[in-house]
Formats: sequence, C-alpha cells, structure tokens
Amino acid sequence: MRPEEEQQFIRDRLDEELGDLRFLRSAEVLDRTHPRSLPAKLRALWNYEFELPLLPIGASFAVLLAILFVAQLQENTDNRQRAAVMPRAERQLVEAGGNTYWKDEYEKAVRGVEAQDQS
Amino acid sequence: MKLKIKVKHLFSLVIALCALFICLQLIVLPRLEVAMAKKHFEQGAAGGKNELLHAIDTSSGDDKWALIRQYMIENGSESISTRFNVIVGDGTTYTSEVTSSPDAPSWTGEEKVKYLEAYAASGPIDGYLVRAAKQLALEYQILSRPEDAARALEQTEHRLTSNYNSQKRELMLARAKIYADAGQFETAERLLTELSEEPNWQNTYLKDSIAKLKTRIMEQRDNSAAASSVSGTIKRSDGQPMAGIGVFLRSSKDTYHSLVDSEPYQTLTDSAGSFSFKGVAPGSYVIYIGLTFGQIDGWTRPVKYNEEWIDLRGGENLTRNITLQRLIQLRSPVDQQVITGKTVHFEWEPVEGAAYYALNGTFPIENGTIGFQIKDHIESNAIELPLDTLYSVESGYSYKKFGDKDIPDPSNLLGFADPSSRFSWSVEAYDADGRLLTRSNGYRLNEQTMGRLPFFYLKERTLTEADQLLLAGRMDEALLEYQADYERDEQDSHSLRMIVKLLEVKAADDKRPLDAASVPYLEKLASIDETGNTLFSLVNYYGSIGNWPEVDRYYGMLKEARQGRVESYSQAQYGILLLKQGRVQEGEAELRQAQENDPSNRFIGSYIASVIYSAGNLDRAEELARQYPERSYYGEDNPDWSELVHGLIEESQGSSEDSYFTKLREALRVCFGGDQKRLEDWTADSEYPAMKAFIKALSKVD
Repeated sequence: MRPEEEQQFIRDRLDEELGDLRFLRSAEVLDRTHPRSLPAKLRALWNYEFELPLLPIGASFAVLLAILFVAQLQENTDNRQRAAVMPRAERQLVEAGGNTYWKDEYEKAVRGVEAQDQS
Repeated sequence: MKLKIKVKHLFSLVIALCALFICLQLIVLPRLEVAMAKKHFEQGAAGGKNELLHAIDTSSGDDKWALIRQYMIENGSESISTRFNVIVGDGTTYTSEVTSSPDAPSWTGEEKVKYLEAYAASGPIDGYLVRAAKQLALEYQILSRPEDAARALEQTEHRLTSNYNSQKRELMLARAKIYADAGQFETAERLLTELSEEPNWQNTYLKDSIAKLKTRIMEQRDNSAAASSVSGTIKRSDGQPMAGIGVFLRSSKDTYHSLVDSEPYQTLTDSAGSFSFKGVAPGSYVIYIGLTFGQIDGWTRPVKYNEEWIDLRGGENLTRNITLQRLIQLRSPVDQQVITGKTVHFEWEPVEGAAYYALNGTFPIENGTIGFQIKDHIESNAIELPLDTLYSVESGYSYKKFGDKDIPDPSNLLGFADPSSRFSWSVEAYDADGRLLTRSNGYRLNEQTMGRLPFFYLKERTLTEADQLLLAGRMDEALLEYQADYERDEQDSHSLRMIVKLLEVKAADDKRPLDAASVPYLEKLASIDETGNTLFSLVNYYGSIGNWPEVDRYYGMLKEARQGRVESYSQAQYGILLLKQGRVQEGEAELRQAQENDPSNRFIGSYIASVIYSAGNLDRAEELARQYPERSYYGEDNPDWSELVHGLIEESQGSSEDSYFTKLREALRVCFGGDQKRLEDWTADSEYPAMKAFIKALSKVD
C-alpha cells in the first residue's frame, strides 16, 4: 500500500470505531490549548510551568549572601575596633608615678617598655 | 539541574517574602534599632546619641518612658556636685567612681529638658518622676531659668498622689531653695512655713534642711550689704572657653571633706566659660572645679595648696579667672630606663614663660607613692644631677609590716640607693613671680596624652650587708653594721647618710629630739653634703640646747646651700629661735620674709607678736592678721588672730596705755622665752583676759 492509501485506511478505521463517541467539552479543551479570551489567557499564564536553572540562581543567591555576610562582618569589626579605642565599662583608673592612667592602657605601656628592654 | 515551577507558585512565594519583609520592617527592625541604639550609646559610638534620641522619639507609651528612665534619669544627677568625674581644688584632686557606662555620651541641657519635661508631664507616677522633676529643675537653673525650674517642681508636686507625701515635701523644699537662690526670700519663706506647718511627719533630715535654709535666708537678708560676688571665666591656654564646667565656691569649713550637695555656692560655666556667684556671705573660700575625664585629660589646673584663698569681708566684687594648661611632656629618663652611670640627665620640654622649674621625685610604697622635691629653681629645661644629690634627698617614709610589727619601710629609707626600686619623677614650671605655670603630673588617659612613662631605675650601686639587714627589717643590726662600715672607711658617705637617717627615724619614733650622740654624725654629713639637707636638723638641735652661736652658724650654712632662698618653715623656725634669744627685730625680719613665702600663714601669730613687741603698734598688727588669716587644716579651729588682736586693742583702751604695753611686752618676752613654768605663773597672775587669750594662742604656734 502506498502511504496515502494507508493513511486513508487508518482514517476510515478510526471514523468507523469512534463514530459513536462525541466530545462534549471540546470547546473547553480547545480554549485551554489555544486560549482566545482574556481570562483564558490569564489562566494559562497562571498555570504556566517553566523550568528554572538551579545552578545560576543558586550561585547568584550565594554571592548575594556572601556580600551581606562580609558587610555584616565588617560592621562588627568596626564596632570592635571602636570599642577597643573607646573606654569600656569595666575600666579602672590607676595612679602611677603621680599620673592618673586607665589601668589597661598603663599596663599595656609598661609591658611594652619591658618587652623593649628585653629585646 | 533544573527546577520546574508554575507561575502561580512562584507568585505565592514572592508574596510570602514580601509579607515577611514588611513584618520585619514594622515590628522586628524597630526593636532591633532600639537595641542597637542602646548598645551604641552605651559604648559611646559615634552617632549613638542621635540613634537613641531617634529611638525615644519613635517609641511611645511605656517603652518611651523606660528609655528616658534608663538613659537619662538613672544616670542623671539632681545636683551639680555629682555630675563630674574629677573635682580639682587648690592642689587637691579627687576622682569620682566610674559609672556603669562611663563612655555613654552626656546629654546637653537642651536635650534633657525636652525629654524630662515630657516625663514630668506624663510619665508614670513613681520615684523616678520625682527624680525627673529635680533634674529638670536643675537643668533650668543651669540655663538661668529659675521660674521654669520652680514651675517644673510645682507641676510634679500636683501630679504626685498622697502616697508620695514625703517626696512632695522634698520637691517643695527644692522649690524654696530655688526662690532663695533667686533672691525671692518672701516666696521661699512662705513655702518653708507651709512645710513646717504640715502635721505628723518625722523626717529629721528634711527638718534639718528646712531649718538651715531658713537661717541662710535670714543671714542673706540681714547682710545684703555685706554680700559679695565672685565671678570669672574658665578657659584653656589655647584660648578655648570651657563650657559646662562645675564651679564650686567652697568655704574654709568645707574644704577638708569632699564636695557635698548642701554646700551653697555651686554653678556651671556658660558657653563662654563664664561663671558668677552672687550674694556670697563673708568668709574664706576656695574655688574647686568639676570636669569630665575628657576635659581634664592632658590638662592641669596650675594651682598649689593654700595659694587660692579668697577672703571676703563684705561688699566686694572679685574676679578669679582659671586657665587650664597643657601637661609638660618628659624626655629623659623615661620608660623605665636603667641608669648605671654617676649622673642622671633629666630633661623635659620647655614651657613658654617659665623662669625656673622644680624637679620632684617619688618612691613607691605599698599603695601609692611618697613624693619629695629633688631640686628647686632649675633655670633650664634640663639638668645633669650627680647621684650623690639623689642619694641625699629628704623624703618621708611609710610603714611596712615585718612579722607582726610595723616598721619604717626600709626601701623608703634607702631612697634612691635602693637598686630594686622603681622611681618616678615630675617637673613643675614657675614664672618669675614664683607662680605655678604648669606641671607634668596629671590625667593621661589616651595614647596622645599618655606620653612617656616617668619611671627609671638606678642601678649604679649594689646593696651592702647593712643594706640587706635593713631591707630584712632588722633596723638595729643594720645601724650597727653601718656604723662599723663607716668606722672602717670615713669616705663611706652612704653609710654615714644611713646612720643619720636611722638615728633620726629612731628619735622620731620615740617622739624625742635628737640626742647628743647623734650630733657628730650629723656634723660630718653636713660637711660633705652639698644639698644642705642636714643643716636644719643641726639648727634645731642647737636651738633646743640654747647654743646660739652654732644655731647662727648652721643657719648661715643653710642659707648659703639654698642660695638665699630658705624654705619658709625653716626660716620661720629660725625667726622664732631669734625671738627666744630676745633678738626680736632680727626675728621679725626673718618671720616677715618667711610669711611672704608661706601661703598657709602658719606663723602669722609669731610674726604679729614680734611686730607688737618691737613697734608697739596694735593697729598694724590687726591689719596684718586680717591680711594673712591662718589657714586651717582638716577643719581644725585655728586662732582668729585678727579677733585676738582686736581684743588687745579694746583692752588697752580701757586701761592706761603705757602700763598696758609694758605688761604686754613683758608677757611676750615670757612667751618668746618658751619656759612653760614661767608662762604658767604669768597666766595665773595676769588680770587681762584678752592678753591671756593672745599669749595662750601664741604659745601654741609651731
């Protein structure tokens, strides 16, 4: 059989076998597959399924988080540095050699000159 | 890898994220912001203050009151006297306790007024409300708005319920004080009467305060002509005016204790650094100033003890300006340098306008240091001192526990001769008139102001056996060993110095004068010691046994060693010894010169007695007594010489002047002579009470 003949044959068989069947909601189906009205178009969009490439998205999120983290870290170290320069709550005064110093700074200075002497 | 997702699911996800974000912004972040603001404020971070103010502004209800309470009222003070870290008097300085958040920035008056006003008007009614009102009133007073201060107190009084009656009275008393300060005596008295009339309450402190205020008002009203004013400006030597500095005009009765709220003359400088006290009662006062650590750091108020007295007799308007000066930076020896040579090179930065410098040192003791002068009148900003000069310095000593006995700290007795001691030094700069310009000692609280550490070690010598005995607390054995060492080698100046020191310490411990056996050591030391520090002990010793030629000889040597500038105490003692010999005119001259260099006026009694004796002029004596009132120590009652002399004047007018003077001179002669028995006999016989009072006070001058 030639292909055209074969096609015709199958078509005839189909018509014959499905002759008793009727598609009642064909309009609906057509509307879904080929939406024409606006609500139908919107619904189609609403249910549109697409694929997201996980790798690029994941990577960009990771970069964003990293930036935020670094910024936070920097702020923290800034604070800590400031706290080191600024007097702290537990600071004590000490009188030494007729001067009044903050105890921690004085002890640091003494350690400093003692280390120098030893080197 | 891919993820399949529908648009509607993606959309829901985005919506959920947005909701979360909004929730964060509206609820979580503000709380976080408040927490951060609190933290930044407490740490003293830049902008912390504005953050906290913003937090207060944006919060409401209980949250707002809690913030104001925690950050303004709790750390705020209801009086000027408790606002400062450091109180600087005439050579005395004390530091207040560091608060729990010492770094939190302080509020300006305007800032506080705004929030305290809100708290006083609508904050919850409890003890904090009372504090808020008092603090608000203080801020208004500082801003020279006494009406607002009184209004704030009155408004709070009305808000307080009957559970807070005693607090109500406190506020009323505070209001009366404000009116009294503003000179509205009638309103003040009306309030006080109202307060006293209230029945059934027992608060002795309040009653006492009411009574004190009533007396003050009465005095001020009666003596309005006698009231004086004291005003001035406080600035730094770089010209910057010091705003918001506490200024306290303290009476001589109060200077021996620390500053308290009830002292009447307290104020703050305005933005130009100016202050003024009006309606000041007659009396002797010293200005103390209150500063924060930031204000004093690296600066000093150049004043010396007893040199800042303000004597008000009535109706005077005085000006006293105060200029803070930068601390002198030290150059050498510093940072614990170890010195092993025969001299020490001291050097510091020069001070503009300085005519001379004084070099001071300290020895360490258990809980601090002992200070002393190394050399005075140094004309340049450097000096090379031989170690012998350092070994010969005179200093006090502390006591140290050896076993269960307290003995003079051996390290202090060794002084610069102890190679294990860490010494420190400092300088003071003076102008040509002898007024202190600035000093190197002070508050050094950050890296810039800290400078070099003023410490050094002297390790030129090693300890002898005698030194080691001394350091082990075996003083008597050490003395014997020093004496043996000295006998072996008469050039051993260290042993000689230690012998003299130990003999003097023993005599002082037994509360007796030096004995004759000690004198040969003293005389030998005097002949080799160029500092002249032993000479005064010899003057004293020969004075006590009445060997006048030796007194004159050693005093002459002392004058030479000091290049004519003998310390006022030694000079006055020599003057008194001259009076004892009947050389009254010479004694008067020495006492006059000593008086000029002694701001404490400790020997004014002897000086005016010599004036009365030689010139017979009581008016001149009274004038001197008024000019140089004897300053009190630790609130001790010192004789009021002007009153005593005034008594003499009145008594002399009642009797024949010639015979009165003859008797007075005779009494003075007995008193100058110092013979206790004769003095008692004279006192028993004398018929003049004022003369007796004067002679009794004079016999106690020392």
